[in-house]
Amino acid sequence: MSTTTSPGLVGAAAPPAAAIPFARPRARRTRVPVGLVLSLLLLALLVAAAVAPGLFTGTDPNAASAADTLTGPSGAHWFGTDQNGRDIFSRVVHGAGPSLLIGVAASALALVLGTALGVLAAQGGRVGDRVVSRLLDVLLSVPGLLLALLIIAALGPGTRNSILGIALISTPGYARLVRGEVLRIRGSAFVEAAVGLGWSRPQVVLRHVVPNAVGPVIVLATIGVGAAIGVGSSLSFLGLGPQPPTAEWGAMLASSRDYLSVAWWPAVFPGVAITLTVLTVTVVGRRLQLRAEGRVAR
Amino acid sequence: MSAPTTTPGASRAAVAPGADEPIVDVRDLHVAFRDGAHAVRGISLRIEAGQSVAIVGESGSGKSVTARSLVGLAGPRATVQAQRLQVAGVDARDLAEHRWRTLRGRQIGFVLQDALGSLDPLRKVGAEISETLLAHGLLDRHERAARVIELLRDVGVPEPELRAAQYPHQLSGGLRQRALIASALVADPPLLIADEPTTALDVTVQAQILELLAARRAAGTALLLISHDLAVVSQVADVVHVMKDGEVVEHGPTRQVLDDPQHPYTQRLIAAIPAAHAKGTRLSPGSGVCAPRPAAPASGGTILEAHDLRKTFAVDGDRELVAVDGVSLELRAGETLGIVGESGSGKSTVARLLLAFEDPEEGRVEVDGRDWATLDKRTRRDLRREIQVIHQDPLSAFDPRYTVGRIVGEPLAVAGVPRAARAPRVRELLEQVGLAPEVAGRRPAELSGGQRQRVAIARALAPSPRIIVCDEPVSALDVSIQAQVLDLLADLQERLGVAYVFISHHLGVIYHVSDRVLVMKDGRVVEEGDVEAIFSRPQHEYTRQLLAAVPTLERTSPASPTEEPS
Repeated sequence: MSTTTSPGLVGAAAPPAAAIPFARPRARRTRVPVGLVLSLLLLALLVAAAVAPGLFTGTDPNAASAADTLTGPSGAHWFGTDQNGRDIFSRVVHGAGPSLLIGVAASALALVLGTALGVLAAQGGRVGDRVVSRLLDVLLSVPGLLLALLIIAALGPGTRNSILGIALISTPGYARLVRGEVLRIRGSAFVEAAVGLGWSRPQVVLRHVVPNAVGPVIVLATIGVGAAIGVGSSLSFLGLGPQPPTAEWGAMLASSRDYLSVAWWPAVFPGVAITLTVLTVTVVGRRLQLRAEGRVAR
Repeated sequence: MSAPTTTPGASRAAVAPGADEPIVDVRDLHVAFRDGAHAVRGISLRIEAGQSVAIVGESGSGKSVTARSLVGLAGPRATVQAQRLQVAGVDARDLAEHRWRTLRGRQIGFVLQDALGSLDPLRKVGAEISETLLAHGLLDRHERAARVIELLRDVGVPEPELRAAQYPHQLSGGLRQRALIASALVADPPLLIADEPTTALDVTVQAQILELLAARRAAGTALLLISHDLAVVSQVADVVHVMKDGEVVEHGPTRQVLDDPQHPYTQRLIAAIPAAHAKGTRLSPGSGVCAPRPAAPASGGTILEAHDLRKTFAVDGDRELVAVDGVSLELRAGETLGIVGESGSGKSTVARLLLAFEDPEEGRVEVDGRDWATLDKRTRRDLRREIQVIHQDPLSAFDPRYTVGRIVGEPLAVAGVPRAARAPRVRELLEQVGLAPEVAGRRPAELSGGQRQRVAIARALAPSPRIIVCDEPVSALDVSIQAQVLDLLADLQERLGVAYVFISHHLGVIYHVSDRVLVMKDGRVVEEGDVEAIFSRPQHEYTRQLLAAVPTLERTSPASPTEEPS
């Protein structure tokens, strides 16, 4: 297994050692990670669509046309039209914005909240830790989607409240992670070294502990974005997300339900969009995670 | 690259002659790794039955890879080639894995450095040891158990029945190493390969293990000892091969190599060892003898004092471990106070108490006449500038996100120096410790061990402290790098007048750097005094034991200045 001897060398009349073809270039080159490249490309497209949907389609996503209801995919309407005669391609493109916004904003908010709670739990002494940790336990004990539903039921539907709801249910995970990281890092030699340099405790925490604790959590949050987009679409599907006529994938899915027997396209295209987005973000997030853990070359 | 060496050194050693085939006969061994590293470049090695051979070199010299190649464990990424690779009478070139398995354990016992990592934590010691017998289908169950007990007794493990039934973590480092050696010996292989078998051990335990190895050798087992430590090797080996960058630069009978080294690298290695004869001289090449330091710079007043320190830790819930028990010490400006002791002696806890990383339960520490305990938080922080620290492992003491420049500049940031004004001072500090200014942009992980320790020293110097506590600062370094760092510390002391509390388990290093020495054991100071007095006329039994346990090169050169205290 580990030992190979080049056949030419065995028994040959002692060739000069320098001539031994060492470190010969092996045929194995680092494989191009196809999935990753595709994901990055797709992600770039998604972000572009979210920021500037006008680049991809000139059609107004809300322009209804009673003449063209539920027409199948064609040259004029690539993804067909929905029950109101609106262009589904345009709606899918314009739907990228709200979906990504909900995913990214909810994850970012959860990250901030989670970090704050995590640091509080780790640094707040026994009482602080008890209070925060039990609060997180309570949040975690309720199924996530149900909790988000509750929050939106209380605050009313809409994009902002979806973000709040999703952020709240993702917070405990980040908080626990940050707490653990802070506890781990607090015990490391470089933190003690910083104390030895003369920083005060709060300064040490701010300068050394928190930045190092948050690093791995941020990476994890990119994976969380994918999950948050999924939850966001679920909420919209239930009619609790961005309100009509805003183009949003989950809401589009919901309204397509009634026509599924006669038209597949109003359901399939937003569905594929959601699937691809979650997949893409997750693939990229996992890659970042592997990289942060040093398991793949940079 | 050298042509195949003419005569392998071993054959000259006049040990175990006879027509018998050597156990190991290697000619022109090359090991390359897939990433292009050419770790071993044409070395030749011969080990006769019952002979003891050592390979000595610094990290990266290829010594461990050589040893692993002899048991087919160079790894899947390695390409091993040789003109001759005869191991236990088998041509081991292109040997299939299942054939290697018949050799390992049965023909060759292999002992790794990390005794804890090499023993399965979930398995009792006895089961671990009898594993080899099981793998080779030797003896039945009862005989195996009996053999394990017998062997543990042979390698000097007290209460072998009890120990065999315990888990690795329940054994001390020395016992673990013995158990590991026992597991390598259990099938009675004619050759034992030991890779740094004593490196992680205290000096007294090391002496026991070396004795054990010598005893095995006397009993007829051939040894291949891999070590970075020439002194360790000199105790056991008949023949030494000195490796550097994958090549053997010198080989021959041990005494001959040590007493009359031919190759400049060997000469440098030997010169770099801090020992009695080298005190007051530079250890690294460059300048020969530096101006001998004044024996005791009595000029300085006391700048650090500790009185009757006591610190305990709770273990297993209610039991108390007294880590430091009634330790007092005094450090004068510009001098070096060495603290020497074995692991668990409490020397590192003393360092932490001095630095006020921990508060003592009893006693007090005064820096510059100010007692840590009486200061408010602010003054405490200000006082920290006066007393800095250098750790054994600098990498762990740096924020992993920081560049070298930011690390060295951090004490300046603490002092409120604006960012822009830090750069010139950082450059100056780096220069002081012999690093190029470009290093400021690099990350510590990209630096070598010696460079990292220089960065740590630069950071410690940044607040212009009067005291630096050095906690095993050179223990993780190769001897030639260690020499450079020790020289640097000496230079800085001379130039800046900084005082050191120098903590080490290494008596040679302590002797080299110290003006005065504390010897610690079990949390207490058993002896203290002037370094020459302690090393030449130790009063306490424990100090004598320590000194006796230190392996020395036993230089036979006549007028050795070892025995003349100034």
